[in-house]
Amino acid sequence: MRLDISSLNAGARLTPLDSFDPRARFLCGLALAIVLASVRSFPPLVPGALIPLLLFFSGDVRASGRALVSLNVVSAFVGLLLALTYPGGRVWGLFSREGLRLGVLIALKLNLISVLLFHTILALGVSGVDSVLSRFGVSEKLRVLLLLSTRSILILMERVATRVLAVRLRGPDVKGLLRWKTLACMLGTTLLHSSDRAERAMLAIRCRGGLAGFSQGRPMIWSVKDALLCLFFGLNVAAILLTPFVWRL
Amino acid sequence: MHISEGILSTQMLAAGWAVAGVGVAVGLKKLDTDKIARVAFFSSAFFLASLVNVRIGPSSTHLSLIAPLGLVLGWSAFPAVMIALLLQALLLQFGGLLVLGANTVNIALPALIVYLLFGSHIRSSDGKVASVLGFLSGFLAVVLCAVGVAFFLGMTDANFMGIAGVIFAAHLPLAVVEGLITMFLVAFLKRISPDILMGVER
Repeated sequence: MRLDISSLNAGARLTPLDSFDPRARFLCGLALAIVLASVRSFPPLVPGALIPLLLFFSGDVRASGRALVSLNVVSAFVGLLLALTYPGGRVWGLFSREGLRLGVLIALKLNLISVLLFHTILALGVSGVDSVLSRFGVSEKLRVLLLLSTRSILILMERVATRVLAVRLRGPDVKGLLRWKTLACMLGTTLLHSSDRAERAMLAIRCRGGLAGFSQGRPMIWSVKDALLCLFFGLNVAAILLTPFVWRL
Repeated sequence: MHISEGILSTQMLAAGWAVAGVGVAVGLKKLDTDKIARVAFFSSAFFLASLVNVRIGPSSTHLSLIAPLGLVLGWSAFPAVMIALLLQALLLQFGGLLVLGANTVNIALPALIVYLLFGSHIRSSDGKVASVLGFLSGFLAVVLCAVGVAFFLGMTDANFMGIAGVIFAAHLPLAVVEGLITMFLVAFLKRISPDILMGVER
């Protein structure tokens, strides 16, 4: 039993898009990702790969690569299942030809969409995403929940890690029902602690004068270069959508 | 439990976002503002507990804790799950943003269903009956989640039903484990702090 929190990071990350307005990054990334998700054949992925590859190689390649490794493990598993279960002609009597084609297509789309969203949206960090969501009129309750959840994860993380370590030290060989009982009691104790901590956090918030308001401290300015970024992404989207028709000609 | 980016059709992505949007809106409307910190701390506790890597036989897994989440949070499970999945993408670079709606539905809807089916009975029953109901809710929540994943895959492409069947079968041992954990957790909370099972709604 161990707690996998080694890669937890709530802050913003450096990307080549940092000089642009976060709203432009958010909208462009989301629009291109939706178009990439709708692709059902290989040719449109050629223009579709342009921006994700530019972002991948102009940013921190090692950080992006690390994030992609775990995603590709899942993708390989999905591809294998598709190849084994999809109907149609078989390769070596085992793998479905159509399943293999679909598995490769899904793996390519997963990588492109993930790199794109990583650089345009996820790299903004929790506070950056909160600021953008507030400008788009997303419910204040939901944004406060996002900020408080991030804060409480960071508060509870150490305590949960200590509890998991204590379980491992006190009963390394615990097996069967006792193991699940131990885990349930650990979760129950964490909930009790969370309940107490939440009461105090709410009192502190009331003392400070209420919820939220942090996002207004991050001014956003839409300039000409943001419009050009949207235009560039728009042209790329058009190229992806037109490729299937050009391919048939 | 998660559906990766790139698998679902645009229509199913939109359907996932529509259902998740309604669930989150109702959940936020029912959520008492004074209890927002409580929801944040509880969902964080579940988020961290789901990061605990547990060995089952030759492999290892992360628990989903769908039923405990539903029994403790009720309708607030929808916004809590959406935020938890968003944080998973933001903090761990795992999971997806486009599939956030579908994944929220797959986890929060079973949590809500077990809350509506078993929540009030668990609160009003004595320890042993509540534990049995806890097991049933834990088991059912994972099975419903697997059904949800199968539904989204099947509606995207009818030929995905093979992969959906494999995923469903793989979830059954996890359903038993989650049932046991929910059973022990319900017994623990009934004994130590029953008010946690009273929910966070106004």
